[in-house]
Amino acid sequence: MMLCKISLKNIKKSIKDYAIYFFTLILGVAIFYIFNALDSQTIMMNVSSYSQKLIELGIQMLSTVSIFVSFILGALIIYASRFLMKRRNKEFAIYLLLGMSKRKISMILFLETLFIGILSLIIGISVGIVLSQLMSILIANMFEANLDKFTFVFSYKACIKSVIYFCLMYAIVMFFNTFSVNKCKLIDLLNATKKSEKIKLKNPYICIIIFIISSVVLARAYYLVTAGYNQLQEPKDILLVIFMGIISTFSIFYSLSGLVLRIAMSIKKFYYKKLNCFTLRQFSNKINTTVVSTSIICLMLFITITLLSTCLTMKDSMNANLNMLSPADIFLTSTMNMEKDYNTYKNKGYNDNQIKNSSLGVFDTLEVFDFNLHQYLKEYVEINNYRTSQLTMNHTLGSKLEEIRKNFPFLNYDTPEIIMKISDYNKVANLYKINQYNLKDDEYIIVSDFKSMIEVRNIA
Amino acid sequence: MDTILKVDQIEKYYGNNSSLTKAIDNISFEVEKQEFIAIMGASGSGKTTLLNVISTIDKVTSGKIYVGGNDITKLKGNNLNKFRREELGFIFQDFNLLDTLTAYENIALALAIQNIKTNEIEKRIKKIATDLNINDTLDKYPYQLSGGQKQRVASARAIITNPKLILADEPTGALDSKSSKMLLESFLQLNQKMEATILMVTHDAFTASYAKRVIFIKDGKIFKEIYKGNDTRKEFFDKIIDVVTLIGGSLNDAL
Repeated sequence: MMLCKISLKNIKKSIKDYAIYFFTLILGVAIFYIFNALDSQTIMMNVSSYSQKLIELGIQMLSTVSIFVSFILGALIIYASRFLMKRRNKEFAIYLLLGMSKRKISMILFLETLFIGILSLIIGISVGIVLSQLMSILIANMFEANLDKFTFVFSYKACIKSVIYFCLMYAIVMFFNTFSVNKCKLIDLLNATKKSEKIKLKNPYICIIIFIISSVVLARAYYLVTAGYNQLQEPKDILLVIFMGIISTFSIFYSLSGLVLRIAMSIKKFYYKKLNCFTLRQFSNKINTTVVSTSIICLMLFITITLLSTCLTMKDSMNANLNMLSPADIFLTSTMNMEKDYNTYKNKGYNDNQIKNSSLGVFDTLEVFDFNLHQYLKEYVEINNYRTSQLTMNHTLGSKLEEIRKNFPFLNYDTPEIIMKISDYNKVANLYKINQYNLKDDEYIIVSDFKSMIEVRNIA
Repeated sequence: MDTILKVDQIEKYYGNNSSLTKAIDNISFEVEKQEFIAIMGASGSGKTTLLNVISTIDKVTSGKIYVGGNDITKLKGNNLNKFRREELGFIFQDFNLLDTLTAYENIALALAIQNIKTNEIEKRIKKIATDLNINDTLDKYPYQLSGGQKQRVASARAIITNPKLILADEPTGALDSKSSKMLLESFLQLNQKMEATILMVTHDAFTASYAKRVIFIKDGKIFKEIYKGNDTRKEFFDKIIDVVTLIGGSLNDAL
């Protein structure tokens, strides 16, 4: 009724103030929906099983990231609503003076947040639905999928997930708002606009120290995620680095304004020339008041850029690998003779049935399922590979092991080498139309296709 | 006559032990029903602080304030809201109207908070709008109104709940002389016709000359009190100027 009317009118009137807030919310909801809808977007796609796996990995990553995004958005919303509340101190003071209870004022705020929330959810999800169709086309392109079966997809799961997440966020925001309404005093509210904004002059020495420390920490963090990534062994380390990055980004912005101003002021010739003192003061004041939002925007950009580049590189290298490593159309493998090392394989996640059938070769297995290979395929070969823990890379690299280990520290040297009969290799080579080799007794050749592996082998 | 407001030895200190400021230093006075009182003083004399503690915006350090027999320094929570809602009316220098609402809605809000029925609200607003001559402005938003119109809308909002006490903080401070005069005439009318009790803070001798009694405050203490009695407004104005001169040059803008 009355409260409802007041809050609606407030929204309508202060639409300019709310516009950025509103836009951020819509964007947030849309991104959240897109990330989570990818799941059902890709199901319809005709992608190779290999890409499928990669997409699944990507989706998992994205849903984790989306939670992170929702956290950042939550912080942003709370920050924005606090800022908006500050502008409205006078208004609340009038309500209080007219004898409105704090509970009712909270109610007005609650209704406003609710209206804005519902509106942004609806618009955000609609935008998200449209954008996610585009996204699926992009992804299909990335993974060279078959888009014949393209249909309009609406993901209930993602929709419900975004609604729940954002309701939760709004609930937290409302809690914060109620808390700050209850905390405020009438006299402060009434005089809030009369008080000029406090200009905090930060201690220059502390600023310099903070700036230097955070620069070093940030540099270290960036070094760790780029050049020094092999030092990152566990997920815990990565989180630590991310945390370091966030804190140091924030404190750099915090200390920057004071530092810049201080340096400029010390150069009197420069400082009092033309409008420089005005510009600098304005600049540092801006940085001062927008520390939080600038840092958040920087971090968001950072995440988006890294995600995008990671996705693109992953796709490129995967496609390249796919073309080079598997020239044949179909590649079937089955692990054989597991019965001998029953316990080892049991631990690796094979079930009893698989182990029992493991004495059969690929052809035999297909025969069991009544699948006739000749009918479908023009050429095929069956080859056997052998692995034994008695022949690992440690052995084949011979005397050069130490040198190689120094250059390529993150290879796993205990991997058993895959051994193959020369006759089998020649069968494959014949199929792929590449050179065949003849070997005498006691000779061996090493075949390798990864670039770095070729390097390693050439050293040996 | 009934005593509406009784201020009993109040004090208000700011700051800490090392730098103590006595904004109000032991002030006592009484206000009878249907009185029109002006409180005068230079900037920093404590007059706004006095109004703030009477209006429950601020709290006293010591002393008691009675409105209609109740000690309002002890009010809390819902009782405080009820007191503000039903027994006080506020008028500010900068109007404090809600920009998002029309003049009509601004006035109606004060009644709506008291849960008064819609048709009753309409009846009351019509009447007061005629008294204050703001009928044409009711459908406009505050930014479409002149300063004088805004202040009269604010006065309508303050008076419409029939409060025991109307508190005005520099009501003419943001108005030109013509609007000031019109507003003060309205105050007189409210005071005489509707039997409103008005307590007004001002530093302007002309504004103060409309009151029936003027209390002068200096350095947080009552300096002098003069009554209009049977004087004309012009004679009363001259008396006020005399006291202002006596207080000192700090009231330069009194002319």
